[in-house]
Parts: sequence; structure tokens; C-alpha cells
Amino acid sequence: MKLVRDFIIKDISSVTENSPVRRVIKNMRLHRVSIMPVVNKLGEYIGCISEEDILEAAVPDYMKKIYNTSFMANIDQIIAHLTQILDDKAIALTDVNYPYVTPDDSLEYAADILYRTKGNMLPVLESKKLVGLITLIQILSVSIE
Amino acid sequence: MVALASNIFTFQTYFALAIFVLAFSFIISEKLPNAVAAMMGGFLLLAFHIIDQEDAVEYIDFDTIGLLCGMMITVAVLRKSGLFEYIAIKGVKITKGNPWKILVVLSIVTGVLSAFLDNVTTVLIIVPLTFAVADTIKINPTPILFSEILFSNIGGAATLIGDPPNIMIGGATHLQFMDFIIVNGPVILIVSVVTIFILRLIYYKKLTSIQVDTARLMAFDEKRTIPDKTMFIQSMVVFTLIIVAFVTQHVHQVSLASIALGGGFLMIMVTRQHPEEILKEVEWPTLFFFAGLFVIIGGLEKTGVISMVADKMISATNNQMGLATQLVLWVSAMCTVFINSIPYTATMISVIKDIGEITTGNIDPLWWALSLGACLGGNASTIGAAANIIVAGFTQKTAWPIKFGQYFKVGFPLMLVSVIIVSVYLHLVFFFWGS
Repeated sequence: MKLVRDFIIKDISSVTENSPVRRVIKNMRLHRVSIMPVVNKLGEYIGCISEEDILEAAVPDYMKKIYNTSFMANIDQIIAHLTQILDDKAIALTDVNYPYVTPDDSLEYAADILYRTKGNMLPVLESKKLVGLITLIQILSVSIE
Repeated sequence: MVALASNIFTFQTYFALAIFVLAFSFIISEKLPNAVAAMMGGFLLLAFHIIDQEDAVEYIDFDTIGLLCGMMITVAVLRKSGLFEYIAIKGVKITKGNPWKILVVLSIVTGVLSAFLDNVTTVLIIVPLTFAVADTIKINPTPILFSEILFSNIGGAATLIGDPPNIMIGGATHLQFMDFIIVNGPVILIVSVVTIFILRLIYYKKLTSIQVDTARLMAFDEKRTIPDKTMFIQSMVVFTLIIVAFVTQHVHQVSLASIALGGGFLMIMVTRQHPEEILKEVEWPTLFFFAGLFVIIGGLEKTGVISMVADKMISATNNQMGLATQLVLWVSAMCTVFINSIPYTATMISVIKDIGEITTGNIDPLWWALSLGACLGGNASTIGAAANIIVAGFTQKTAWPIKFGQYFKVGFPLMLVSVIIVSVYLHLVFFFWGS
């Protein structure tokens, strides 16, 4: 049985709970990741912010309720709303229930979680400490190695 | 009358009354979902043999339920066509971004749509669009939302299919689609004009003094709301057929439920929708709510409570139909300020039917008083009608939450004005010119 332990990417970035959303986006772009782990002052893991979480916060509520918003195609509502939340603290968007795995979990377990949550990355935790990430493509690559 | 009153207070009566009061208070206090409260109440009446199974089925007005269900199916398909968004956006663009004109246009669209769809569906479509418009031109949407609440109830009163009280009255009586348009239509038009006029006094200055960025609004592309042109045309044709069938009901005498259900399934067939998908959109809890209510009120009918109330009403108004009409109108309006108009109307329908059996005169004015009172009364508060609750609820998470008191200050006086207009109208039409 393959374990998460052998596939952890350890060279990762995280943000603190008080970092602005701006930094979260910058970090995500720089490190080419779709989730950003959030830690507190002591370095303990709190949760994750995904690209979807940021988009969810940026899209105005009314747009979510409109059946078909394509008539607004020429309007920059989403970017305008995103600009307004750039200085909010990361903790506001943090998903504290974001799924995670431990180094001793099996790779299949991680694959199953990713399948169910439609995600492509999971944080790997050892007790409360963030030790790295595991990505979907690593899991998929196992079959061709 | 005396005979009834003497043997009225049996165990059965008290039990039926207790179930009614209990279900009603659960519905008003929102301690239980409407459908659960009504169905459990109905079940208890059957379980304690207050009414038997055959009676229960008899009491359920399937014409009303079929009509509701059919319209829900029709609207579910129609929504997919993008028609409603198209109309609203086209209308908003005609205003060239003038906020007062936007209020007028969106109110008219709301009024017309809710005359043909149910009010909740209408505001679910219009309110998010209003926010989109307000956010685009950076204005406070609250005055527009107030007006939309008012017009969803006003417009709904104009037709048999516009508002639940009318659907129930239409289902329960000989009154047909055109009767509603002929009697309620003119007075609704007057109420609409007066309401817009009063809103103008309150909001015109406030709204026209704002500088708005019209270019962003004009960038809205209404053509994009229609994803599939063929389906759009198909659904429009079927919807037109359904309306024609309603309008000509006095000729072909096909029941309302049959027209709506037949039309709904024709809509599914013609536009090749998946029935599972469309039937999921039907608000089943509402249909069960109605079914349960009919059984509970059936219990009141069977145990004589309804006829007692009817007797009281007749003696209170000295058997004068003009007085009774005003009484029904004002009681209906005042009751629906705070309580759900559906259980209220369901109860009053039984009472008025009973009055019809006792008195010899024409009781039609009472039906119109009930319809207009129950529809317009809901305008007074944010909890007066289902559409109001939905709109107020939607705004709570936004930057412009609607507060109960804030709305009441505008809604209650406007409701009074509209009911005064209706009161004069009904008197003139049925008792002044009519006699």
C-alpha cells in the first residue's frame, strides 16, 4: 500500500490568519497552487483557502441567484467586488473544515477525498503542524511509474 | 341556525377547533414548516375519526391543487427560456438608466408577471436582477424593492392565477378566469396608478438626484438571456395557448386544473424537457400544505364551526350584503397584514360558501372582497405575503437589508389607500350602480 508520506511536497507556502486576501492570491500565483494553507501565529494549521473560496466571496449574492447571468458579460462586477475584499483578512475566507490527510494515510484515501471534493490538492498535517501538500497529479502519476 | 348552535359544542368540535388553532399557530410562528403543520393536523383529524377518509379526500380541492401544480410546471419550463430576464433587462435599458424610471418599469414588469405567474416566482426573478442593476449603476435598490413587493401583490390580485387566494377562490367557486379580469382588473389598474403616484411623491426627488453611470447599464446584453431560440419560441407558443384556454374557459368549460396540468405537460412535451428535472421544480411542500389545510378546514366544516362563524357574520351585518362585503374586505386585509393569506383564505372560503347556502342573495361581492382584501392586505408588512418574506429575506445578507419597520412605514399606509379604493369600488359596482 502506498502512503501519503512518500509523496508529500514539502516546499510549500502558507499564509497567516491576518494576511490580506491580496497576499493569498499573490502566493497562489507565485507557487502555482490552487489552495493556500492558513496558519496561526504559533504556526499551527487552521484551514485552507481555495481558489473557489475566493471566487465564491467575489461573486455577488445576487449573481448567484440569477438563472443566467450571461447578459452581464460586458460588466466587471466580479472583479469590482474582488477588489473590495483584497484587504480583508485571510481568516474571513478560510475554510476550517477543508479536508486534510496525515503522512500515514494511504494514497487511495487521499484520492477518494479529492474525488469527492472535486479538489486537486490536500494539506498534509502531522498533529497540528502543516508538513506539506499532496496533489492529485502525483496520485494519478503513480499508475504510469 | 338555533338548532345548529345548540348541539355544536361536542368533543369533535373542540378537537377540530384545537387542531385548527394549533396548526395555525405553528404556521404563523414558523415553528414548523407549513406543509408539516397542515399535514399533521389533517392526519390527527383522521386518526381521531373526526372525519373519515372519504370525507378527507372530498374536502381536498383538487381543482386548486391541480391548477397550482400545473402552473408550477409551466413556469419551471418558461424560466429556462430566459423570457422573464429578457423582458426585465429590455425594460431597464429603455429607461436609459434613470433610477425613477427603472422603479416604474420594474414595478410594471413585476405587476404583469405576477398576474400570470405566482408572486414568489416573480420576485425570485426580478429581485436579483434589481440588485444587478442597482449594483451596476451604484444606487440603493431599497425603493425599487419596496415597489416590487407592492406590485407583486397588486398585480397578483388581477387574475385568477396571479395569487394563491385567487387560485383558491377560482378553484372553489363558479367564478372563471375572465370574471377576475373583469371585476378585479379595473380596480387593480386604479390602485396601481395611485400607488405609483404616491411612490413618486416619496422617492422621485431622492432617485432623480443621483448621477448614474449609464454606459455600464447599457452594456447589458438582453439577447444573451435566451440560451435556445427554438425552445424560447416553443415555450412562448404553448404559454400563449394556456392563457387563451384560461380566457376562453366560459366557452369550453374545461376545468382550471385540467388546463394548467394539460398545458404544463404539453410544455414539457413540446420543448423536450426531462420530466424528472421539471417535476423537481414543483413546490411539493406548498401542494401538501394546501392539501392538509383543506382537510383541517373540512374538519371545521363537519363539526359545525364554519356554519357558526357564517351565522355570526350574517347576524352581525343584519343580512345586508353591502355591509357584509365591507366586513369581509377589511377583515381580510387586516388579517393578512401579519398572517399567511393561504390558511386565512381557505377558512373564509368555507365560511362564505356557508353564507351562500343560508342566504338567498347573490354572494359574489363577498368573493371579490375576500380576493382583493387577502391579496392587497399582504402589502402592509414584510411578512404579509410569501413574496414579501422572500424579498426581505434576500436583502438581509446584502448591503441594503430591508427592516420590518422601514417597510411598514411605506407598506401599511399604501395598503390602507388601496383597500379604501377597493372598498369604494366594490360598493359602487355592486350596490350603487348594481342595485
